[in-house]
Amino acid sequence: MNCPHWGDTDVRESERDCPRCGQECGYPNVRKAGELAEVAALAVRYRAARQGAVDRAAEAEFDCYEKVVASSQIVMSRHEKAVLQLLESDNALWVSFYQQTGAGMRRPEDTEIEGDRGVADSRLFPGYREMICFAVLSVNGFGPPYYGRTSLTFDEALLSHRASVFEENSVNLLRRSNFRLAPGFRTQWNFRGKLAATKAAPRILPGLADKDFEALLMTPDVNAPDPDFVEVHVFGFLHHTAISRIQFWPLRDKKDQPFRTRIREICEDRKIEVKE
Amino acid sequence: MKLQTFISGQARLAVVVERNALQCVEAGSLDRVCRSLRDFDYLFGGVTDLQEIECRDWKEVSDRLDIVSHCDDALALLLIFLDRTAGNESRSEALAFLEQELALPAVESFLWKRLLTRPLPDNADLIGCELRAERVSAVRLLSLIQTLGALQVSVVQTYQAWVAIPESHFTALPSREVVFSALREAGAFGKLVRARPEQRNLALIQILADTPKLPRQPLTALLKAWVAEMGGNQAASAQEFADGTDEAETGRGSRSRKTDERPKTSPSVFTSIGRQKDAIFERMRVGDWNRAWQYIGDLTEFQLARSERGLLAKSLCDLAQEAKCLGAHEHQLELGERALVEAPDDVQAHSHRADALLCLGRLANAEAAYREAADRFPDNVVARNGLAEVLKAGGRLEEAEGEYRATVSRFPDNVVARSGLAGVLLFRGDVSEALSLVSQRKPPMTKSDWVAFHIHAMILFRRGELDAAAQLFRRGTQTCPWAECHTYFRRSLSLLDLRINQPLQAIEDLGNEESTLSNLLRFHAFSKIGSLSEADKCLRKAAIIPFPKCGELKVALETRFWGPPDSSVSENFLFELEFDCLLAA
Repeated sequence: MNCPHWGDTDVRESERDCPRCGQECGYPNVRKAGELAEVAALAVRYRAARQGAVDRAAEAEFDCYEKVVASSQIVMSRHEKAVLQLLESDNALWVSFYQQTGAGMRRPEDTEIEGDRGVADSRLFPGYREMICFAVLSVNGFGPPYYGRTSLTFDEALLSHRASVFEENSVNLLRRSNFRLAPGFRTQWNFRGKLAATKAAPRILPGLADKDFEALLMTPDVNAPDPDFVEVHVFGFLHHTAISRIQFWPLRDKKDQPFRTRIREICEDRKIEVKE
Repeated sequence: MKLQTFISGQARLAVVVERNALQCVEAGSLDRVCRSLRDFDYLFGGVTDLQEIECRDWKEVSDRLDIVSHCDDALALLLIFLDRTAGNESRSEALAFLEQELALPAVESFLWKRLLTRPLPDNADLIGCELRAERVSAVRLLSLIQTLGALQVSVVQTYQAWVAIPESHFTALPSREVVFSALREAGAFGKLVRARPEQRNLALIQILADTPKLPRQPLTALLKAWVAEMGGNQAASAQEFADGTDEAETGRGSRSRKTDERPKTSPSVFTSIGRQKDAIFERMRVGDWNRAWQYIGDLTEFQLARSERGLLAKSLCDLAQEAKCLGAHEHQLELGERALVEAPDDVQAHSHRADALLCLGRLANAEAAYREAADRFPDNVVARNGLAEVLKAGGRLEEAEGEYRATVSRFPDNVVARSGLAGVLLFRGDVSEALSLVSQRKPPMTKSDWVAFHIHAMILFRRGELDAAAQLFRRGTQTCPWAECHTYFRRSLSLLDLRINQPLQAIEDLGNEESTLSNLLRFHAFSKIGSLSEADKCLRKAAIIPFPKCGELKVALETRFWGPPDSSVSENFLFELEFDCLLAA
């Protein structure tokens, strides 16, 4: 793309700032999701999906689902100890003995797992993979429990401008499409309702009520081996001050109780809402 | 074929990569679940302890995961338990699980490796932890906390020595961080922390043997530099260490040493005395002075029965030093006097008695005690510095300067004399010479270094470099391992806050300091914000006047805030007086 400020400079897909004038040109993932080809392709898919709903007499349900997802939130599933570490990242005790002298030396993004994951990442986030955090869309504040039984909801105002939304688990979709991803499967934050409704259209039937929408957006089976959800890609790092709510799935290992209690105490101090 | 495994104790999860899919196992379970590769990011989202290992079979994956999970649980629980800002509920729950975790030898070993690498920060509540563990008879945890507390000074010394190793020693090694990790995993910090100065060389040989993957020559040089930074008997030890490494290489080891090199006093006697002293320290730290004096009586009887009057005096001096650190100056005085009875020629005993008198504000007695010590032991730098200190506290600056100058000319490298002289010069307005006396090239390690560090910060304060001074004061409150030095840093920081008209911050920065001077500063701050009842409480607490300048300050503060409205005492006048008091304290 050309620099929006000075026009004639080529800003690469992975670059956030113009190499010539240094001014910000938008977050690469958000920019990509807003490209004309992506927007147009999603519009075509959306029109077809809605027409299908009209034909099945599920037009109202389709519109209602779209509206519900349009107010969904960015949610991450984490294990209790990882949440505590994030919340305690300003605490000298934790910084000294956990982050700096923790047991291991690698972060997930530093590992070199080859195969589909690497190919998918290079297609989706060329040159800025390490800057992307993964989350899911949720209408009830819960994320998939297999990834951690604590769900963090992030403040939309602090993340939405750097978030893009993807149809499903991106590796699965890319693998099915033989790693040649057609446009129309990702979008900017404000159009998440349209993307989710387009994806779920075949399952939107007459008579669906609000209570059924959660299961349409995310696999309801908490132990499903390959949960389905709408993926959110957030550019940049996440700070604990961006958390607006924490919700716990029922406790499975009693050893997590002290961590949950401590999380509640911290949340009370910081005025973060906690729900069981 | 080995299994390429990613393992995290934080997630309590192991993932084996198999043909573009992930096989996952949770801790405590043998069930495998297949996941997509994308799940890798979700499964390990936010963890910082991810390790990549190779395992022979699934049994090994499961066993390794169990150990890593228990270790990580224990560390995270301990951090909650130690954290004074954590609530009662979470600390109590953490305690219950921790005691179980500590039953596993691998967990205890893991915890020691980590806990001895760095000093505990300010928000670690060792005393509170000890009391909680004692209350519920959590024996393993109690022992861990007590040992951790007893080793803190050594941990600080070892860590600061590590930080002070020049970068040049790392050029032939992977990097400081990688070497740090390797040494931590080998338990190197713990070995040095627990070693007495004369045992450090042996510890280094063990460390070398435990870190075979690092290049031997540069690592040997680095370890020598580390021990040298720790001070102690490094001059003699360099040769011993060289001998020791030869022994390690040839497989002879320390067992080949001649028997006549053993100490003349049986080690078991030292161990017994050491244990008795540890028990006394423990009682002193929890404020159980009745029991402490009972134990001191036992120790005295034990050592007198062995005709060890000189050693008994040293034991009593050690206890006096601890009492001083705890701010229990009456007990310090009593211990110093008892030590003096046992060994009238022991200069340390003289110094402890005099120092306790100074701390109690009994300046005339302190001066007499120090003069007696300085006369009897003219080559003793402690007695000479103490005398100068008393003169300074009494406002006799010229005499104090003379004493300090004489000491500095005789002992030019003595940090206490240099910083004392710097303090007096600062009083008298000679900032540049003061600065030249306390400029430090190395990070502070000993208590004297920290005193010099404080004087340095005070000089910057006096020169109006407020940001730089505040930064040093804060560093002192956060990283100085000596509790009594914290008082100086906190009070100075508080005065700086008052200077920039932030009385609320001044109150906060004082924390729980309860000395007279701290209460006067608090009175000043509360008066400035109009909280007169709080101010009154502080004034009542400031009853004992430790030195004359402090009395002047008290009168000036009362005049300024409670006197007639046209009082001639200005904020500037108060600041100067408060600054002088900080220097005199």
